[in-house]
Amino acid sequence: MLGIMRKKVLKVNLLDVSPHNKAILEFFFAGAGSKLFKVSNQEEADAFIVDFDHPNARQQWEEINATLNKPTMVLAFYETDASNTVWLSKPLTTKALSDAAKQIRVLLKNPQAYKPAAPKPNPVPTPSQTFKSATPSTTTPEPAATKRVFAKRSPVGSNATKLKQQLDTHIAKRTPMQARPNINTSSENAAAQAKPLIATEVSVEKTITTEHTSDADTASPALKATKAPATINTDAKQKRWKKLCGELENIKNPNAWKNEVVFYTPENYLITSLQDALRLATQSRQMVKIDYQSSTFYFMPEVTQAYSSVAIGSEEFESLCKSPVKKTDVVIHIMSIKEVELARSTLSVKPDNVFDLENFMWTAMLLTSSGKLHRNIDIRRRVMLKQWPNLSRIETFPHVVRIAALWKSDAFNMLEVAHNLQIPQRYVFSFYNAACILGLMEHEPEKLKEKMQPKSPNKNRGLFSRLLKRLIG
Amino acid sequence: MSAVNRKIIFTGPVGAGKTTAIDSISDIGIITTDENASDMTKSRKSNTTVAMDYGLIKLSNNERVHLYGTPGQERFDFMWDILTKGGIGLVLLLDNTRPDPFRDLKFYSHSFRDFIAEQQLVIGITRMDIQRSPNVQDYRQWATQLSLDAPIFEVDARLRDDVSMLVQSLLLSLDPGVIST
Repeated sequence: MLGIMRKKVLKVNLLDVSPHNKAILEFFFAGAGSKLFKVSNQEEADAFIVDFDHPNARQQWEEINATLNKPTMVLAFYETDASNTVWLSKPLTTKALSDAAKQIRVLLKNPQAYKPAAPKPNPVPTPSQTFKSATPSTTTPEPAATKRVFAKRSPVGSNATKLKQQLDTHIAKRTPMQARPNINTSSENAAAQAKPLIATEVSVEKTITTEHTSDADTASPALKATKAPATINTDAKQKRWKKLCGELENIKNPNAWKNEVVFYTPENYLITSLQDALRLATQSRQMVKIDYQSSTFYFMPEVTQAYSSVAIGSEEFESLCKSPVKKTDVVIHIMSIKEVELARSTLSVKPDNVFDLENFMWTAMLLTSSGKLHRNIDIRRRVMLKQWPNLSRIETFPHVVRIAALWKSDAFNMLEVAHNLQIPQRYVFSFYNAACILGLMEHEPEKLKEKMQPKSPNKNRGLFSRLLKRLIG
Repeated sequence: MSAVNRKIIFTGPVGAGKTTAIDSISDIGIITTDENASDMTKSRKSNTTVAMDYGLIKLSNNERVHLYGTPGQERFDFMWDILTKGGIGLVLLLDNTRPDPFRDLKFYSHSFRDFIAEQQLVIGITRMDIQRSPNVQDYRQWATQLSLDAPIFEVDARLRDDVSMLVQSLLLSLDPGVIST
């Protein structure tokens, strides 16, 4: 691998590629593959990448290649017979992409050098290749064999439980190409050759230590899970809110807010890896697995649910969120069909560990930030809420509905929201952090202007107040 | 002292949970005008609302919030204008198991467009426990496409907390400065 990385980056141009494979490639190029590939225009590119399963892609490639004639990486379920191409079977793996880069280099030197091998069935699908963050390998693997394998479509049987049915739906909705197991070009040292398929975008080699406070007091994990948040009593709720939103005092001097606010660095925590995994799951529309220490998480974008081996109301989960992590210790990958099958059985026996995906991210963000703010934030910047969070399914805290309503009505900075509502600033900071992780905040000044809708007090305010009291209880 | 009466309207397709939602937050036993379903509705439920549902939240002796549920079938749309007169907001419940929830969203938001322009819309997605797709984010995108500015929540119409959250967001959208007293 190091040998490859020492070479010039391969410039590639993406022709027709299906959206989810494009998302995977872009994720790979931005992270682990950044030293292997660089996206370029057609003229400057060393090679093309095309998805033959995409409608009219082959025709387009043939037309372009007739004039430019460049080696091409062909993504397809079935092996292609086209000359001067390297076939990449779906779903994509890091190894296949790395191998393809090598083969393209060979083709660039000698267009006749690469001949596709005949497909070989592999009776036992290997797990999909895993990836950690974009840490370059220090080993140089043997040149990969160009073994190609076809896989059986995963059987999707009927299931008794609701979760199973939902998962079945998820699988059924995948295209035939997606539904194939991820069978890589397995060799004896496959594990040693496993390289990042898609790296998380921000590579943090070392923990950044620019924070003003220490999280050392939350470092030791308590393994016993607490009760679910929905069932805890009022006292426990108060405790829970302190965990979610912290206990920080208001900033007394807004002009010198930087001296008073407590910052944190998301890249130091699990939340950034979870965010990367969410992005990968959303873009690829496939199930993604996250492994960290002894904890496992599945993100299921089709059903917008997350499985967590650790209950999100537990102290263990809180500790996972609040303790600094090395990003290289978090392993994220798109799940193979075999893994999905295994996950299905896990989900059916642990339905209590399945959460709404937005709720999972929201809670993880709240626990991580705990009323602190991102170290690069400017709290004087006016922002607005694009869309309401799904408040009936996320973990709420005091004033959350009022914050949402005010921020949806107009652009305010965080201090203004707290001041207008006469509430502790930590709740506004917490709302902002959690809404950002769900992509619900609008930061673009141009869009804020469009949305500004100043509202005068409603003539029914008195009645509304009494009705609210009745509803809140 | 004159009585203050305000209305909140619940609408949505057949079987979306309008009657149940009103019942969840009403102070009185809900008054329904259910009849045996005789048309396509029968495939979704045996009884259906033909005129309206009625519930009430009594805030004081002279202050009441009336909860009206429209009949789901589109052929009763002549009732809708009558019911919305004097209303402070619209709760649109959409059944996620129906074949085309986007079409339902489009239809009801268009039908009540004048009322929504004057007042406030909130959207509750029901039966997501049975059918997870489309998801809340899909509804957010659809609402943006239709230029609808409305809170959108997953709800179980049987749960008071869920319906309460819809109404709270309705009130606070109308007046973000309001506080419970």
